[in-house]
Parts: sequence; structure tokens; C-alpha cells
Amino acid sequence: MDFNHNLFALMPVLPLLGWFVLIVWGKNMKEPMPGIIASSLVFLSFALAVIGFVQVSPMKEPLLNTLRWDFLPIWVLEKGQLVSKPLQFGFALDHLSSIMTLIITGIGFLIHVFAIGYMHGDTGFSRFFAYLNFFISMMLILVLADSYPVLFIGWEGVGVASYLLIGFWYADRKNSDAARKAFIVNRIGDAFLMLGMFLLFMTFHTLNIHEINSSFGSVVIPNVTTISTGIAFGSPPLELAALFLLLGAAGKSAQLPLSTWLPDAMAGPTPVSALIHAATMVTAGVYLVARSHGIFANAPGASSWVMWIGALTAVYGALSAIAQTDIKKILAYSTVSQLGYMFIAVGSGAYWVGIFHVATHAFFKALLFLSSGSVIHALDGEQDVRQMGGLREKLPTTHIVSLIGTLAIAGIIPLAGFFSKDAILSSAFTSPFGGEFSGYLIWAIGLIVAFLTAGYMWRWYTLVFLGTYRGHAHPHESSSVMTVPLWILAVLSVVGGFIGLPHFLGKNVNWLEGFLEEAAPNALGFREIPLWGEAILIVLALAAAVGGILFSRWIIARDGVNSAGWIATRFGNASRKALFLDQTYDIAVSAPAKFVSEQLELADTHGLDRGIGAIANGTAEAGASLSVWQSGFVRAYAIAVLLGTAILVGYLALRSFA
Amino acid sequence: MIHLIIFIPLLFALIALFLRGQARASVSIFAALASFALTAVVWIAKIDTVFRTPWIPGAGVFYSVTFDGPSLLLALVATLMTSITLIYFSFRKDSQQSDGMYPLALAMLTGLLGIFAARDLILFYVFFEATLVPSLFMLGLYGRKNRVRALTKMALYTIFGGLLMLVSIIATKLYTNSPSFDFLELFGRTSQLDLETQTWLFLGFVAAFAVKLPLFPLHNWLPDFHAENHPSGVADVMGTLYKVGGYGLFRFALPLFPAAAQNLQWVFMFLAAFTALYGAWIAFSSKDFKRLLAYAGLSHMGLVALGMFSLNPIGMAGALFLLAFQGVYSSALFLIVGMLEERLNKDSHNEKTTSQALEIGHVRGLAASAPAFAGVALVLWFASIGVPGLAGFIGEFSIFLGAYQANPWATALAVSTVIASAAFALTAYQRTWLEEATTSIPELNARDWFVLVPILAVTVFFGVFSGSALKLLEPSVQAVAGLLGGK
Amino acid sequence: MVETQYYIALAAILFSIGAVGFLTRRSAIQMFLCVELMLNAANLALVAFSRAWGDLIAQSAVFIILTLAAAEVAIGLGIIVAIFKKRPTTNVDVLSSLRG
Repeated sequence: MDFNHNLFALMPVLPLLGWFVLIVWGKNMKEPMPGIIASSLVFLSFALAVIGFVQVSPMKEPLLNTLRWDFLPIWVLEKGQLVSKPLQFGFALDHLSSIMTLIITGIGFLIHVFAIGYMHGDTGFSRFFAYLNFFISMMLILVLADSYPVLFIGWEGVGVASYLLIGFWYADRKNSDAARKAFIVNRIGDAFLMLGMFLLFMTFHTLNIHEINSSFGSVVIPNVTTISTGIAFGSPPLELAALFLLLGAAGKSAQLPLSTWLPDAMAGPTPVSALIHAATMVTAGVYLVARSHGIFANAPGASSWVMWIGALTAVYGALSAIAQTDIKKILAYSTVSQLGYMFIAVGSGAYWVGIFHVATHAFFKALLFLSSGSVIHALDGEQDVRQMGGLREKLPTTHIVSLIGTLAIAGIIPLAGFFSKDAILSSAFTSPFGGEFSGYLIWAIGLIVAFLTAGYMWRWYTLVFLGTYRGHAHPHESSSVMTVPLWILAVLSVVGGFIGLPHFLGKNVNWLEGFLEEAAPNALGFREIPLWGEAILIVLALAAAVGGILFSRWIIARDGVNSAGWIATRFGNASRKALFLDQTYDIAVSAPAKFVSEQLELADTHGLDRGIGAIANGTAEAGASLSVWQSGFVRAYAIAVLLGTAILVGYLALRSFA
Repeated sequence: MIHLIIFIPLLFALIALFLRGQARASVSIFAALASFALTAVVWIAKIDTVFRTPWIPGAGVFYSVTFDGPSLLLALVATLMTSITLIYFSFRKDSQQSDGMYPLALAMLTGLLGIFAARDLILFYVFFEATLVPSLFMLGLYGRKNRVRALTKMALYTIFGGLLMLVSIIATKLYTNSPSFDFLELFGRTSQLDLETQTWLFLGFVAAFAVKLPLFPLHNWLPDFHAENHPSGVADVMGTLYKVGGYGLFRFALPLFPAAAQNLQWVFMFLAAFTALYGAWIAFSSKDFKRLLAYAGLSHMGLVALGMFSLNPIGMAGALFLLAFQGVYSSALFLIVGMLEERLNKDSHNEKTTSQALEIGHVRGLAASAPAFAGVALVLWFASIGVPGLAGFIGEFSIFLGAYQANPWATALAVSTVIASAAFALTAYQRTWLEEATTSIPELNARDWFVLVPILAVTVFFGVFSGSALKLLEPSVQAVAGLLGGK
Repeated sequence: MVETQYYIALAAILFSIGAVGFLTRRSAIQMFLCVELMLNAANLALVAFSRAWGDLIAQSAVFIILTLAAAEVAIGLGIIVAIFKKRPTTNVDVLSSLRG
């Protein structure tokens, strides 16, 4: 067995081991122990991810593990002959998945450590860490998979982990309902992802991601057999498959129209919201599109759909975030909106930009969520921002890192969010897909969203930290096991943007784009804009961010912290109800589905039953009417038999005479 | 060897009839385990010889048996699950009052193994119908209040379908002038029949298998069968293993009449897809756990039929895989319901308390008092709705993948089942195990662990390392798919 | 060698005796014996034809019928005895509780 080739495949195995150990023996462990076991296993995975990163950096083709086994039955027709080629359960590490593993295990480790403090005293302490480890393992399977079905294991596996963690405090019905909703909505996306896979198999006769990507000729991977399929740029099956994948990605990444589960998912403990519902799992959809870059780069129609869905979701999330009153719900809608940004990026064909924003967003959104976790922890579970305020003095560390996070997500130079957001806007501006006009429009939408983002995040910051304290708890700063991860994330939020500096600063300053050149190359045909044009775009983006913050300050100064008057307006109400999307679904989908189900159940158990019963009764009655012949006198029967025989014999005799 | 495997259970069933109490239980469990062990030997030693000897020579009926890949996989599951179920049952409090279950279950096991091994059509028919007898006895002797109605329904449906198959079997021999009913001799001759004859004969076979699968609209007996059976779940497990319609399609109906199958493919694919969705959708509104599981099973069988009628090797392999492993995790869910009923029901002879114990949501929040029980139940539910990493996924995904290549529209309809099944499974699970606790129940005991650990192990192992099971299916599937043109 | 028609005539006579007896008697046991008489008349005819055609299949059928008849007698008499134990009579005209 080749050690070098299989080392990285241990990454998902270690947390899975942790899950098993904690599920089986966790109950008998004293408190910090499960947390320590879980965190150290994730740290080991992180170390493996670093080793993998070093291993794979100089390589041009993916590193494939050699320890494989048959997983799915696959037959292909070769020269009219059925040939069995079972799909193998195998992993591949390339530049793209390497970046993802670093994010997952790195941020994952920090959040594990934070959770040791946050979950202190919870009766489900060991169960919590078991689930977290399970999640990390599934997420790593997702990004390391070298075929779609194996990716799908991770894909649904993280869904299961998310289900378990949203409903972690299952005794409260609201939490269980939220968990169930998340799983079912995710499954809608999963159904489409499956259809996408089937169509891809129909078209390419394989489900191996690298084989499919390399079949377009845009990437040449020596280890993988190149198949010529004759699938043309923009051909209908390709577009349709890409659309299916898009809907699958929309489910996992909470894009319209499948976005409603994510805000509800905040029912889970805050570290979960940070890890799963901000930093990692929800970005799986973005990863899927980047991973399938060959398909999307050759499906211009579907790609422009990706951009538009992203743009609409970005606006939707930002508008919904404005008037929320729950500290986590604001961040949740913000996540929806930011995921929309990432979809704009990958839809425009600049896959590295999407991954760039995945990374920076993971830094600052995890930071913001953990900060709100720290706040909630300090206020003994209070989540309503109207009951906060003035925490600047009481929680100094949390305040500083939150400010950094807020500025980073708002896109203030030179924090991480500034660079990635700028890259997204300029890639939308120059995208080869959907035509010029559509590109400009999406850029303008992105700019408005940047304005709104800065606005609602400043509101969030102001209501929580500035002014005077409006609640009744006794706030206290968190322990260092919680603040150290916050500091690390804050530093990353500051410097994280430097991996993808804009072009006008020099030819080779953009490390990330170069790094992902083989694994996720840009689509062809981006419009060239002059360097000064790029600079203008950047200045405009910055202006939108600053404008948003100033506007927010002005509104709060005018209307006061509660913004009572403002929220009562029709617009404020719509924003608070997230543009009534949930209600629409209830009326248009859930209620009818339930009604039909009940009717079918009635029809099946009673209607159909009665119908069949009627047939049975009819038969029985016909039988009863004939039963008068059954007189009960044996000799009458005997005469009947004799007569019958006589007639029969007589007939035969007569016939033989004739 | 193979005869031993088939007839050991029946032989010991007869012995068990003359024993009482613990001895009967021990002998029965021994018999089931012995036939499981012998089946495993056949698997490991790769014995696949065909044994053939005249049985009714005048009529051309042979006793012709073999265990090839698919038969062996199904036989392994059947023997394993029967052993586990009988062990579980022997530890139940009410097992003494209904100890006729042991010989009946063993008799059913012989019937099932015979079904899987038979290569002669009449022999197959005999096993196929004979297995019904112990099944009906279980229902009739130990069922609940409305058992007679359920029994009549099941018997009528099944026997009627079976008789149509018998007519088809005899007609097949007559029309092809075959010297015997042996599959290998019939096979090859049937392709010379004209399409219309083929179609009618095919429909005769399908009638029996569609009832047994079951397929909409012939499924009406199934919910009552499960709901009225003994709450322990033993009869339900045997009933789940007895869903051999998909196997019959694969083994006899499709290879004998490939042209007819291709001709009617789209009709049956849509019917199968509809059955899958219909079952899952109704399950959402089921108020009784057994009914819920019955409809869930209906949904699974719709998928099996979809895979079979896809006539595609991937779909058929998936269908066989699903058929085999739903025998593990769907059966296990019946056992879970049985364990739950045992904990909640004070008096299993009282119709009212039994109904309450089986009602979904009558008690809530059980996970608080029995977390491990809740966890195991969740894993099995996830397996049942096809979450990857568990055995249910391999079958379901392969079926969809294969079926999509043959008929994308029917498959799209069927794929929506994954949404519906998630909805009903998680809702039912939440109503019972999660939410605020209204009562507490004892955690899993040693017996329960002993029963559930092998089931969990099989479910997880074959969900990840599915290769060993797939290897068993591969040659037969390839052969059948080759006949069908292998699209 | 006796010719076949004599056997057949004998069988016909036996059968007629049985049939008339069956129709006129009321005692279950006597009726039962009449049935047996008819059965054996049929057997005799079978054997006779079998010899006439030189085919042994009919003879072997007769053997099966004989063994079956023996079993049938055992069960039939058992039933009659059981009835007699429960009811004071074996008069078949009185026993009509299975009428439709």
C-alpha cells in the first residue's frame, strides 16, 4: 500500500473514529474529555490537510488514493457488449479540494475548541461533539470524493449531521421541526442532484468527476482516461444537467427557491450555526459548481441561471436581514445573501472567486457567529438584539472581534471581505455568460447588496454593542477557551483577503487564482477591462460599503435603537417576515401536500377497501342465492346426481348414434 | 448441502411441533442458525452446482435447485433475519402464549429458500404458494381483532394471482413443446413464440408478482396484513422477506419473455414509479406504525419494480440489492416497533392498549429516556429512506440510475419519493422519539442489543463495502441484461 | 375365457343395486354401503376393460382407488359413528343442518 497516496484519505476517517468513540463511550466521560478528544482528532485532520496541501501544491494532476473498493454496480456498453465497471469508492486530492480541506479542518478545529467553553454544563456535551466530528468527517468526504456518488455520501451525510445538530435540543418541538424542515428541503435539492448525476451518466457514461471535467479538453489530466463524447458547448443535455446540479446546490446552499430552511436552522447551538450553517456545509453548493467547472463552463445558459439565482438570493437575503430582531437570524439571512454572492461568482465562470469568498466568508462569518455565541453565552441565552446594547465595555474582547468581523463582511479595505467581494463584482461585470447587459445588471445588484450588507451589519453591531444595556442579565466575558478561537478568526478576517489581490496591483499578486488554475480554471471568454476600469469598480464597491454604514448610522440616530417606527412600516414588516416566502410555501406546497396525503390515506384504507368489499359481497350474495339447491336432503342430491348423469350419458349416446 | 439448507427448517419445524416451552424455542433457533451457517458455507465455498432430478416425470416436473448469486444473497438475508427474529421472539414475555410462531416461521423459511433455489417452474410455483400457508396461519392464529378479514383479503389476492401464474406456466410449456418445466429448457424456446402469446404469458406471471410485490392497485392486502398481525413483528418480518415478486420477475418473467417485457416496459415503469410515490405519500398520514411501515414497504417495492422493469443491468442489480437489504432494515424496523410495543403495552391481548402502543405520537419524547434506542431507530430509518453510507442507498441509487437511462420521466416521478419518504419518516420519528417527553421507557437491554447489533453491522457494512454483495449479483444480472438488449 | 360383456353386465347390475339402494334407504350406514357397491362396480368395469385392451394403466388406477376407498371407509364410518354419538338417529332425512 502506498503510504503517500493514502495518507490524505485518513482525513475523514479520524473524525469518524471520534464520532464512534464518543457515541459508544462518551456518556461515561467527564466533561472536557469528549471535547478534547473531538478537537484533537480534528486537529490531526488539519495536520493531514496541511501535509496534503504541501504534497499536492507542486502537482498538476489530482492525487488519487490507491485504497479503493467497488461501491456501485455500473455497466457500460462497449462495442455492443455490456462491460461491468463498478464505480469505485475513492478519494482525490487536488488544489481545489485541498483549499476546502484546510478551511473545513482549520475552522472546524477552532469551532470545536470554542464549543468546549460554549457547551459547558450541557447534558448532551459528549453527544454534541460526536455529532460535530461526524459532520467534519462527512464534509471531508464531500470535498475529497472523486466521483459524484461518493460526493453524494458526504452531501447527504452533512445533511444528516445538520439534522442532528439543529435538533440537538430536541425536547423543544420548535427545534425538532426546524431540523426536519432543513432535512426535507435539502432532500428536494438532493433529488435534483441525483437527476443531474443520472443525466451526466447518460451523457458521459461515467460518474467520475475528473473524467467528466477532462472530457471537455479544457483540462488534461494524464492519469485519467480522456473520453471523447462529442458533447458540444451549450448542448441541451449539458445545460439540463447543469441546471439539475444547480438546483441540488441551491438546496444545500439555501439559494432561492430553497432558502427557507437556513434561518430556521439557527435553532441549533451557536457553534453549529458557525460551523455548518455559515462556514462549511452551506458552501457545499458553491464547491459543487466549482468542482463541476467543466460542465458549467460549457453550459452558458445554466451558468447565467446560476448568476441570476445568486443575485436574487443575495438581494433576498439582504432585504430579509434588515429588520430581524434575533441576533442569529440577522447573521443567518446575511449568510443566505453572501452565499448568493458566491453563486454569482461561480456562475460568472470565475470559479476561484467563488472559492475565495467561501474562504473569507468562512473566516468572518464564523467569527461573527462565534461572537454572537459569546454574547448569548454572556447573557444567559438572550437572543433578542432589542434586549442588548452597551456590551462594548462589558465584553471588550467580543466587541473588538465583532467590529473586525462587521467591517470585514461590510467590505472595508483592507479586510478580507473587501477583496473577495470586489473580485465577485468585477467577475460579474466581465462574465462571458448571459450577455453584457445581464453582467452589468448583476454587478449593479451586487453593488446594492454591498450597500445593504454594510447597513444591516452596522445595525447588528450598533444594537448589540453600542449605546446602553437594555436587558436584565449580568453580562460577563467568556473564558479564554472561547476567546482564543475568536482572536485567531479575527486575524484571519483581517489578512485572509491577501491570498487574492486584484490584478491592478501587479501581474502575479493573485496567489489563489494561480493556485486553482488546474483544478478549477476560469471559463473562457471573460471581457477584458482596463486596469483603471478595475480600479473604478473597486472604488465604487468601497463607496457602497461606506455608504451603507453611514446610512445605517443615520437611520438609527433618527429612529432610535428599536427602530420601532421603521419596523412597523410595510417594508419593515415584509423584511421581518423574510418577504413571506415561508408563508407562501406553507400555503402553496406543504398544506396541499398534506391534504392530498390525508385524502389518499382515507381513499386507500376506506374507499378502495370498500370498493373491493363490494365486489366480495356481490360474489357472496350470488352464491347465497344459489344455495337454495343445497336442500339438506341427501337423497335429493343423489337423485340430482343420477338425473344429471343420465342426461349426460343420454346425450353422448344420442350423439354417437347420430 | 443445498437440500439440507432448504429442508432443515421444515424438518425442525416438525420436531418443534412435538416439543413445548423452552425446548421448542431452542430447537427452532438452532434450525434457523444452522441453515444460516450452511448458507454462509455455500457462499464462502462458492458452490453453485445445479441439482436436477425428476420429480413428477410424467408431467415433466423436475426437482431442480441451485443457489446462484441473487438466490444466495436473498437466502443469506432470509436465514439471518429469521434467526435474529426467532431469538428476539424467544425473549418476549408473550412468546409462550404464541409459541406456534416457531414452527410456522421455520416452515416459511423453507418455503422462501425453496423459492430462491427452484429452477423448475412448477417447483417454484409450489414453494411460492406453499409459503403462503404458514403465513396465513400466523395471521389467523396470532393476529389481532380483524385478522380474519385481513387473512381473507391476502389469501384471495395472492391465490388468484398465483393461479394466473400457474396457467401461464402450463401454457408456456404447452406452446413451446418443452419436454419439462425446467427453466433452462423453457428458456430459449419462448423467444420463438409470437409477441401476442408472449405478452399474455408474461402478464400471467406479472399478475402473481405484482400482487406479491405489491404494485398499485394490487396492494390493498398489504397494510391490513401488517396491521392485523401479531404486534411482536415476527410475522411482519417473515412477510417482509416473503416479498419475492421482484425476484420472480428477474428470475423467470423477464428472461422468458424479453420481447413482451420490452414492449410493456413503459407502462410498468410508470406504474412502479407511481406505486413508490403513492406509498410514501400515504405513509405521511398513517397513524399506526405498522401501517406506516407497510406503506413504506410498498414504496420500496415500487422502486424494486422500477429497477426490474428498467431492463437495465444497473437498475436490476440495484433492485436485487434493495430487495435483499430491505429484508434487513425494513424487517428491523418491524422489530423496533415490536420492542416499542413490548415496552408501552401493558396487555398485548387488549385490543385497545395494543392500538395505543402502536399509534404514532401517542407517546412522545422517548429519546430522553432511551437515547440509544432512539439512535438505533434513527439509523434504521435513515437506511430505509436511502441515506448514503447505509445499505438502502446502494439499491435505491442504482435503481434510479439504471431506470433513468431507460425512462427519464418515470424515474423523475420516482425520484420525488426521496422527498416524500424523508417527510414521512422524519415526521413519524419526531412524533415518537423527539419533542417533549410524555413518558419514559426502559433503555435497550442485552437481548435488544444482541438482535440489533448484527442488523446495524450489516446495514452499515454493505452500505459502504457493497462490493462483496454486488459481486454475487453481477454474473446473473449481466446474463439477464444481455438477453434484454441491455440498454 | 369369459367375455368382457359379462363382466360389464355384472358391473351394471351391481351398480344399479347400489343406486337403487342409495335412493331408497334412509340409514346412513346402508347408504354408505350402497355407495361402496357402486364404486366397486366401477372398479370391476375398469378391470374388465383393462384386460380387454391389454392396458395396465386402468388396473393400476383401480389399485389407487381401492386404497383410497379403504381410507375413505375409515373416515366415512368414523363420521357416521360420531354423528350417531351426538344425535339419536342416523336417518339422513333428519340430518339437514347444512342446508343453504
